[in-house]
Amino acid sequence: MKIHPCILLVLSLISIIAVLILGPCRTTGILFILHGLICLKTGLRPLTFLNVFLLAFFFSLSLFILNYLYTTLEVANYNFARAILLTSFSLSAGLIIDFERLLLFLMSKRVLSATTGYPIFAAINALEQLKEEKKRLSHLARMRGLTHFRYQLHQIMPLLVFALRHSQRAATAMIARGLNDQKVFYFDYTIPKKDFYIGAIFLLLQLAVFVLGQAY
Amino acid sequence: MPNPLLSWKNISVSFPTHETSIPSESINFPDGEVQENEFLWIDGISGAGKSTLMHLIKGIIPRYIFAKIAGEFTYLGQDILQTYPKELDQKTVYVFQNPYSQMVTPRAKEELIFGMENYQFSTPLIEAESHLWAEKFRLTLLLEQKTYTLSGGQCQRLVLASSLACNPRILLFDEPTAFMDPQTKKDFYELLRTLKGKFTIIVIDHNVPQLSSLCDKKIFWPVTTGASTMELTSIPPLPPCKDFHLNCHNISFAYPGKNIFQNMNFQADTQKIISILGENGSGKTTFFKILSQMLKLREAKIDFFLGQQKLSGKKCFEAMSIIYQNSEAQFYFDTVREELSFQTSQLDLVMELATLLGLKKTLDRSPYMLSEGQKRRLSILIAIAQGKPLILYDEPTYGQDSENISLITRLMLALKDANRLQIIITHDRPWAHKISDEVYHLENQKLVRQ
Repeated sequence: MKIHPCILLVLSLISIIAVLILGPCRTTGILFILHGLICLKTGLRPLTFLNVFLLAFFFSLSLFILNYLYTTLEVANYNFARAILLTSFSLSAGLIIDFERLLLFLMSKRVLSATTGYPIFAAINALEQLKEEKKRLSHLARMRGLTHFRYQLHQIMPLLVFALRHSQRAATAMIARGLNDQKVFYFDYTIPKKDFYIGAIFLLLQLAVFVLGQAY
Repeated sequence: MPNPLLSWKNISVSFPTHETSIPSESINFPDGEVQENEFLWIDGISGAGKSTLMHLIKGIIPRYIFAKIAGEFTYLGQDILQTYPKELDQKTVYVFQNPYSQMVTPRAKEELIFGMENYQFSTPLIEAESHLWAEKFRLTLLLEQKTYTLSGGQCQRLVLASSLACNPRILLFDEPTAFMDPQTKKDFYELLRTLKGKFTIIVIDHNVPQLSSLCDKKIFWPVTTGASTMELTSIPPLPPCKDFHLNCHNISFAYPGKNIFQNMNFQADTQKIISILGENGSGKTTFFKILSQMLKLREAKIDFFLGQQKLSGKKCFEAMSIIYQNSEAQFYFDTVREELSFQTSQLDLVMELATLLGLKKTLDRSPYMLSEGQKRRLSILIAIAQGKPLILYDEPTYGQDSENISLITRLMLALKDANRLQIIITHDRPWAHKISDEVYHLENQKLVRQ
């Protein structure tokens, strides 16, 4: 089930802020379960969610070791749990939020100006092309016999030139095609009522957990 | 007599360099004018400044790209260099050479209506126009796709449709068909024929026979660069390579939702030029990726033989070069000289060739600062310097003027004489038939010999 990215962003932010304020505790534990439910509801595969958790676990493990070596076990445990929660929330939110739709929504509501939003799109599009260009460069370097480690640095320049040329062309194209802040939007990016209600339910649940967690 | 729609006289443009703020060598334009609903074709050598003219008409220079301009440029008698009229901005659409960098939105359907949204078209009008242009440019099935998944030709069709949907009065096309397959190219020129007389059209393109019958007026850009290539008499014999043989068996490949190859076989021998033609998105570049082992397929068997020896693993890379459309992907060093000297056994011959190809004066310059034609010649020269027996070219004539194409052709023929196997992806059918020993067409997920 698709939920509007704006709703998902708000729900994820609340969970992250809760962890930042409260740290790892029963409340944030329940919020984590709620967040997991939202992720699964929006179509994130359980295996992907598990992968995210594992990634967060290993990332936090390094922090744990550092903390354990330089402070106490208690502090290390606390920071370890906090890092796992924050990393899991952020990574999984990044996977479930459709950022393109979010940008279009913000631009259609004039929260974000079109002259700022569309360059971000161009940059997102360019990422795929940069990835492809990097692969191509590495492949060509191998063919030319530039396999030594020091030649890896030589790939930075063609990649940089590609990125600069691409961004200049994209900027020119946007101007040439008449991009301006008075632009209208044909497609409807508003939040559907159903998504709004789902968001409200989860928000109430989060607040309830937050309040009850503080009370007990 | 009424004022011409656009007129330029004694125009020269120079761009300041970042380091010294001293303007670069100025580009001098031949005088010209266009009347309302006239069709102007601009031809000429690469790097002469044709695109700069388009930038001036669209007002990108000097509004967004700073340049020092001298001369007179008018729209209906009004000076556009001092104050660019808003009306002209809305009436003019400009379609660039490189379709990938024109893509702005994430999905094709949003890209199609991008221009109309910018010019605040009403919702019913956007709906009607988008349907009309999507059908005209065979885009209906692509509309749900992400823009970065489209091929070059599909991107170009999408941008064209999006621009024409804005109901412009002046159409500026900078090599609009460079990435298109022959059928789409034909359709595009047919479309231009229907638009002729209703719009003012300015097209920059090289060697397009269809344009001769379409245009009312032609400007040929004067020869100002690359003169040394004209002096080229003959290319000295290149050192021959060992016999090379390529054998591909059972190639099958699919992108999500689209089969590209199905049990395809392909063989090629040394001392041949082989061209591969095909529609946009039919898998020509994918074939190169498979050949060069950028894409590895489990079931497919791709064998390279140098002499009697079968090459395996890393040895395959030592036997081939690829020349991409974007020549810059091949440059790794600070100067042209370093590019040519790296792992070169016959440096004297390479330098002699560099002189013949008009690259002598550029030896101590950065390869990124060369003109497009020089970059392409340099990338071929690097392949020659490496002495590889297999050279793969992706659209070698793209964006090149007739002089450069003739030079590239001669180089390729010299390489053929030196026992190289050369495989080319191209949309330029007549050129492919002229230069190639074998021409293949990618159809029904197989390479079919013509």
